[in-house]
Amino acid sequence: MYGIINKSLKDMVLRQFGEPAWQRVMQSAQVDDDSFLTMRIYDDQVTYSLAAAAAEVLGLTLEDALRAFGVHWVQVTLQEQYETLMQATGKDMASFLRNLNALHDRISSTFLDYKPPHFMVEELSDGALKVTYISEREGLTPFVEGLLAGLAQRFNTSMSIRRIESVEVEQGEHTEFFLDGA
Amino acid sequence: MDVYDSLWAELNQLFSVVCQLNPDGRIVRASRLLRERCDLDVSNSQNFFETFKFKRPVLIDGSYQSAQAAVGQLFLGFSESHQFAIRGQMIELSKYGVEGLCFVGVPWLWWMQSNATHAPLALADFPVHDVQMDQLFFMSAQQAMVEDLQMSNDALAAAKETVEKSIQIKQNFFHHVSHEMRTPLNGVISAIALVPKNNLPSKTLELLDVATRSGEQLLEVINFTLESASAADGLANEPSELFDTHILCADVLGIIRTQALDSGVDLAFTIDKSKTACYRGQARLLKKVLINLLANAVKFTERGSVGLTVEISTDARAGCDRLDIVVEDTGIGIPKSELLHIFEPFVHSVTPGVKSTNGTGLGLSLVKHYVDAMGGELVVTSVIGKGSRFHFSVVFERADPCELAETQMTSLLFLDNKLHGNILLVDDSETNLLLNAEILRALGLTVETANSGEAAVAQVTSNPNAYQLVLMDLDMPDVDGFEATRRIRLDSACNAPPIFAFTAFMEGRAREKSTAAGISGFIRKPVSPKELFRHLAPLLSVGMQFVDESQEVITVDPLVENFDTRVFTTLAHEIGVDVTGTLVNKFLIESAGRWENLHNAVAAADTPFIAREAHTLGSACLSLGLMSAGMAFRHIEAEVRGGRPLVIDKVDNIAADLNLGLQRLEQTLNELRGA
Repeated sequence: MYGIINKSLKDMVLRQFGEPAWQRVMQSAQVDDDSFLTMRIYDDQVTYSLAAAAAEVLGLTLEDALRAFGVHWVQVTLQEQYETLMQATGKDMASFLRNLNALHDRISSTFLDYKPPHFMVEELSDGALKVTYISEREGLTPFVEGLLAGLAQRFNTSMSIRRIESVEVEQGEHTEFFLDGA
Repeated sequence: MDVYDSLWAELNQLFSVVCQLNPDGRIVRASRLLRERCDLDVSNSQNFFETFKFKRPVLIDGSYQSAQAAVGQLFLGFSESHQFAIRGQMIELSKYGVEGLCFVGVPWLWWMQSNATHAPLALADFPVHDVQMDQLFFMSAQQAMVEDLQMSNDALAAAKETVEKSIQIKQNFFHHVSHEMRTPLNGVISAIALVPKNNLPSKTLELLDVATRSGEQLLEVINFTLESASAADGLANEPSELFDTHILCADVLGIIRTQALDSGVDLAFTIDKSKTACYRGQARLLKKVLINLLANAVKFTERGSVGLTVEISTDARAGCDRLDIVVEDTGIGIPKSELLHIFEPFVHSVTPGVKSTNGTGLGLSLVKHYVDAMGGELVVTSVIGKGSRFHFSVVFERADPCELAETQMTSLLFLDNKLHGNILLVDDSETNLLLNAEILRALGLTVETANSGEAAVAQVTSNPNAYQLVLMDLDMPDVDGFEATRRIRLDSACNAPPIFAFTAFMEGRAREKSTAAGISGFIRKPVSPKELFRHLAPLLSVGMQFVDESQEVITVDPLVENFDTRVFTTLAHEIGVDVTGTLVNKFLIESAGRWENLHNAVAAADTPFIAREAHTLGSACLSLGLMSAGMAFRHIEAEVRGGRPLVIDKVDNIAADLNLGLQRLEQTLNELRGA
């Protein structure tokens, strides 16, 4: 994964729990160097180890830690560094989710090692949204849950997010979300 | 749908900004994005060139014709309202059966980013093939990378500062501890040196000897600690100064001479005197290296000789020479297994069957530090039982000998191994004053004392010519050594004698501060009489005399012999013996006149005249091989050019040397004539 992910995770721990907590996370994850560079590629295992260690140190389940990280990603990292693109991607929850693939397509044209997830968005008759998350990575569904929650806050909607089901696939993860009350 | 309608639909798929113009420049049709962003009402027949101002192409003048002429070129424009900007090109519609032009393009993202941030663009405002949004993401990522690197730099700078601080704390601790150790050691070494040795039982003398050697050894260790710290501070910052290789080597050999005499070892010096000898470089380091290497060589040579050879060759760097310097001995040698480690601290060479000598094993380590600092490389080769050879090459910038004459050139004066001169010793400690004054007197010097910086300033400024050297303690209450030196320099800049810091406190900053204050050099306290002699010998010279010339066992630096046969015979060989004879006669007549002139000029204190006469006499003497007289004249020249007063005795002292030299010259000339 690109360093921006690890950097954002570090930022979340530092902002919410302070430097000693981050030092414990690094120690537990056995990561010596935390000077992550945004666009440098790091082994996915570094991110997984850091997330697991953060959960352990902060006394959270891994799922809760990833969920919190998802919210932080949208509300802090993207907002502080990529706000123009965020604005360009959509003015509301539905348009943003619908344009997300287009944004990822564009990023992929420049960053060749980028392996973004894919989102299928279906507007239901009652105005609710069914979002299918498709990724070749595993274990990041809670992170996506956090992302959706962060976006809901960004667009000031009181949408409830429910994970309907995870579809069994050979590699990666396919998960359906139901976004209600937008 | 006709052909044009279908074209319009295609264009709207390919571009988000599409605008059809009729031949008078009015807008006929516009894409949705354009209508929304520019609030266009096509039914009003708005003029395209009034709605947009174009930055590119440069030749667009607001007319339809100019736009038609620019078909195929890049158009960059922004709306009059500054709400929207477009980039794209014009296409001709005539081939589709429609009169007019059509603008096709996209929003001009970079202009909007800078000028219309209140009206952000959306992904959907760009066709998928347009790369501006990709660029935007790329730029944002690059910006983040720059911030990452800035953060890394800040973190590294902070870490560096922390490390430097901790190094500084460590160094301060070392200096403090060294200082604390030096003070009592000063008392021990000085007191032992002053114990009256007469009538003491041999056992007591032996114990005193052990105490002296142990004290000196401990002092060497402390000195090494401080020297190493100085090396870490940056020996490369050691000031560059003008020096004469011949004189520098002569000084060094003079210092080692006593040790060589004691050991019964011959000293030999070889240098090609026809080569330039004046350079600008780190002379003090070179001197330290030579003293250490020669002292070591003498120490480890029981019989035979120790030689110093200097070979000078032109270096590839413009205006520079390379000096290949070799110190060679016929001593015990160093085992092969130890050669690799010989420059490491605390390494003693142990030669099978040879009793180990005293020493800390630090000297060669320091020598290597110094040679490294001069940009050279020290190499050693050795054969057990045959001797060792230390070689290094250094490159120095050539200097003008005349320039050298204007510097405060010093050399040494040996008279029965005694120093001569009047020294002002400054120290706020009465004990230090007493001990060190005694040691200095024991070396043959006359000593006056001042127990404060203020008193020192008063004594020197009231009579600057009274002293040949001031030894100044730095750490004194009220007016410290730095301030005292500064005041002396301000008051009598030209005539003040050299001021050397005589201190136990020698950290890097003190050195910088000293140089700024006008301190000429450093001597560390405590110091043994032998060490002090070594330090002072090169500083207290007004001429150069070796009174025990008759001791044949020593081949002293040829430069300081009264007469150098090789110089004279080479001259005779080159110009012929008869011509040489005529030259000598002319010299005898001329030198007698000049000698008298010099005398009169000294009496009249006519400085320029003294310098000129001394210069002429010096050059003539050196050309004929009258080395010691020639050098003495050169020193007189340097002294007076340096603004120091000259007494007639200094001139008279040369007479004996000159006469002895002339006798040998005439003898050689007769031998050559006979041959």
